[in-house]
Amino acid sequence: MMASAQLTARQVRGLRKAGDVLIPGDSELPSFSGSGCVAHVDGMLDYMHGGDRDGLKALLGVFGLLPKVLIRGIIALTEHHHGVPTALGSVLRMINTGVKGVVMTLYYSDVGGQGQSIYQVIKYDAKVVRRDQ
Amino acid sequence: MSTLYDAIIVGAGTSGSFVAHQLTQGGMKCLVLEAGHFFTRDTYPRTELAANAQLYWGGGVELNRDADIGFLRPKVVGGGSIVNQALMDRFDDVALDAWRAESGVSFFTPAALDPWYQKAEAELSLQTIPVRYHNRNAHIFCEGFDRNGYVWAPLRRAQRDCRYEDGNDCIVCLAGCPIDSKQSMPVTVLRRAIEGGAEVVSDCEIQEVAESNGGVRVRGVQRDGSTAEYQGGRLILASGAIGNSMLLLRSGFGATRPRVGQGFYSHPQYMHLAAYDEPVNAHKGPLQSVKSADAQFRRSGFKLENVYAPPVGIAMLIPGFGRSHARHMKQIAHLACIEVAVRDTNPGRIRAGNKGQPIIEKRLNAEDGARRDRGFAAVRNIFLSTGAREIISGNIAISLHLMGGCNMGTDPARSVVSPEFRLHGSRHIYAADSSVFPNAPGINPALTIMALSTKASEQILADART
Repeated sequence: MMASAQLTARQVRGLRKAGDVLIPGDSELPSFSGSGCVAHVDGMLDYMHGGDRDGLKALLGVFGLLPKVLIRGIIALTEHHHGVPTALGSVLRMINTGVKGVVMTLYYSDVGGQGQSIYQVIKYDAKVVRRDQ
Repeated sequence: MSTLYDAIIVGAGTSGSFVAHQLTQGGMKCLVLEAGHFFTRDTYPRTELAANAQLYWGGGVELNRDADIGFLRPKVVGGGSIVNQALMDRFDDVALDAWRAESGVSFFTPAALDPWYQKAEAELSLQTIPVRYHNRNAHIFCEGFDRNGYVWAPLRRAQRDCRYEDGNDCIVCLAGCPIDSKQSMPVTVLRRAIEGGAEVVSDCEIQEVAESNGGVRVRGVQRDGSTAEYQGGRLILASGAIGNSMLLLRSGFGATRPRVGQGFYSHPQYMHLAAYDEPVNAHKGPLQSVKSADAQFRRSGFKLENVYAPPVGIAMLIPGFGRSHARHMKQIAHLACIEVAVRDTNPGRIRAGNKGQPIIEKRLNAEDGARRDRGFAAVRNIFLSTGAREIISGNIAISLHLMGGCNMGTDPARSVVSPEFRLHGSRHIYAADSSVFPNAPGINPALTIMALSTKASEQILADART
């Protein structure tokens, strides 16, 4: 289990489970937990507003206790928030943006360092050449 | 706290840098305070994770209460000029007529602002992208416009020697330009201010401001948690719509100026992607080369932008999850992108939360929704007429143009800042950034912020002489 100054072991488990629901991986792309990107989670959480961070940590703690199939159901529900009354819709959108934001940022920043480079698989090769280097 | 500054400027973004430069040139001793870090081309964060976390408030994005608009609020020395695409358009009659009607301020006309625009433009290198460097995303944009009878035009950008011949990709510069070609404040106007003697203190978030007969006193928290206090003859608020509103509200100015935090606009932007059989490589070369210049679009309350985003941004935009989401991500090199930017009509409100973070109340009304939908209809026409095989639309808006909250006007009961750029009822507190905008112009605000800040600086220097 990776060390995080921000997350407990249960919250890290929750993050890995939610991450693997969002990004299960395939023959080319590693899964979220298999990419090694979870090790960089503090690089995000350290900069979040305290209230947002506390809410996210509480949610990840709950995910740590739930089976993946239930997490999948919750995330699927948060994807379908159109037409949902405002107050509930706001909560669903907040959960969706929070969980998806952390997972997608960690994974698609290609910082994991384990297995195949995400950027190589998706063919993202942006660069700026410095002539002095 | 022994030093007494002629001017304390809170916020080292576009407005703060221009004001610092002009006031320093005018002989004032200036201090610029910035909550974000002072990066250079050697130290800008180079992963999307680090860039989002370290260059924006809230670790990347802040949401409105309804959680359907994400606000990108720069927190870095240079502000928006570090993370934007440096689009430099003057405001037109449509925008300024609406400003004049809302505010009663007579100088909101293209002719009256012309000298200030000219002065601002003279500080930067402004270029359009040669057609030979346009990427395929731009070609699709132009081809789709032509096929549908829409009008497009080249964009004018603040840049110098981007060396496209070296294969440089401007998308990298959304996290700060590694070759200092983008005309960000730290390599242009702020650099000149510092050379002229202005002091910059970064990583210092100002919590409170107090005004007395003798001037102003500000208190901030530094990165290590320690408190810092500064005093000066005058204060220039330059931390944007949310930052200025929050500082005034926290400092108790809302009690006597009830409009503080109100009249908030943000140009909600909706990105639409389309998959093509052939590679598009929208991330290569100049990120934004062209823009919509269609009078019908302007009348309809939206504009279309030729734009793209790095992988995390695209991943957040694509709905769904699991293997279908991954399938779209593997097509990233085949995706084109056009963004609808809504000229929003429904003002929002900024309030200070208990834990110090902003509470942003912002909704689209029926007219704003209709503007968004009319824009999407045009995007669909463009994509479908250029061979797109699938259109993917995100369901969250992103806002980067954060405006209002300290709106300018002649009536103190309906505005916060006077036409002289002073807080109504104040002798020492000024603002000239996007927070003073009376409503949404529907045009990228950077150049007008520069022009207003240049005009405000002349006012501040004149006030100091009397």
